[in-house]
Amino acid sequence: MLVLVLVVALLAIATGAGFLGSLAGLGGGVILTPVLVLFFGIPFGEAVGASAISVLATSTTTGAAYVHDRLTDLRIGNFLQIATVPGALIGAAATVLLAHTSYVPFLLIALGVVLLSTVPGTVAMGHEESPPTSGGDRISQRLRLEGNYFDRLQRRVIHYRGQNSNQALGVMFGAGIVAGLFGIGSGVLKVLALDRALRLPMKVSTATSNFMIGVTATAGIGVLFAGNLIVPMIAAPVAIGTTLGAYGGSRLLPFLTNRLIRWVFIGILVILSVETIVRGAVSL
Amino acid sequence: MSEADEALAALPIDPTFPPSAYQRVSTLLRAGVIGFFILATIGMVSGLVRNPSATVGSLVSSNPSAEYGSVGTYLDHLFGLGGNAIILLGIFLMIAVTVGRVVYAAIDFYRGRERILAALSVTVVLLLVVGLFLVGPSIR
Repeated sequence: MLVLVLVVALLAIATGAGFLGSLAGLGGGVILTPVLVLFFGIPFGEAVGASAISVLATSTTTGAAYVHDRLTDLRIGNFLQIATVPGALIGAAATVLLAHTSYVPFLLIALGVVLLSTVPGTVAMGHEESPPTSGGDRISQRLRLEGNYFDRLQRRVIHYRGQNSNQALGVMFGAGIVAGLFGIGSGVLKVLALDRALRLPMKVSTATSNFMIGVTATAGIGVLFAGNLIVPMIAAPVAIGTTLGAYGGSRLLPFLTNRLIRWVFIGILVILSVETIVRGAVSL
Repeated sequence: MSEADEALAALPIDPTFPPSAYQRVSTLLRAGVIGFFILATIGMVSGLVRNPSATVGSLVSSNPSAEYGSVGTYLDHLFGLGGNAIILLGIFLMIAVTVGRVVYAAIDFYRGRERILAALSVTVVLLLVVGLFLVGPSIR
């Protein structure tokens, strides 16, 4: 296949992935990696490298819009990075130890099962437009993990306060390890930590997750460069496409309901869970 | 001023992250993404024009970025307007912007006298530097 054909196809697919990713708080890599491997014959490592760059592109693009609109919570996002970044470094280092072992398929299956197990709880919250504000826990009170955003759809200011901070830190650490292991932003776990554990409104969860995934991806990107897994002519169309898609999504998100965003997220969560289990099972 | 801008201006202010802090981070990210977009597009077009008959197989088997063994070699390719080198410059720019926003956060927390969060953000910056310059190369 000519590179020109690949570039045009990737631009189109990545635009769609960036659009969905920006709405659901994901980098789009979960969609792009299998597409690159299955449909274009790109080796897995190089596909992961391209998807890591797409995560950076989505995070930077959506960050510019969501931070401007104050949907991203800078305080909470920056605080939780203390858990994701060490996790990403451990995960990236573990890739070297695990690369030639038979553990990876089992890890993939376990990850898929864990993700799938979160679906019923997330569906149960599907009716909820804004979580009730509580007094928060000791950490969230001490570090003032709370904020406000203006909901353009409801035309009012929504106040929120973080809960279950320890649980959120634990999930974020796990998200970092997964990100480092598989070269993804692991936005799906970050959204779960922000939505399910901290109980932030869905828009704030996806916007803050989008802000964080770039930092997590950066932590592990040195390994990808060292492994010569970043192929510029593959990474460029993927990142340009996700940038365009993410820009479109970031313009749309403020006008959607939290409920709709949650259902988009649930749809992607189910597909991703099944895909991860299948990928692990096939590799056995 | 639009209704949305008025509503944003009326939001309660976090002393550590006033509206100007959000504006600063947003501007940094916007500059990063525009810079990346321009560089990646120029690099991609340059690569396609210079080698229109390249195939996907040849692209992966001879990853040009693997040939940049030193900064000098990379700069030679960059000043020679090599497509891959220009794309990589865009990627480096995005990485720098990502590290930069954590540095901004550390400064904002320090100015807001939130020592714990400032220390955590400085730790994150150090870990990112370790990841980029120590963990990666040590695996090579």
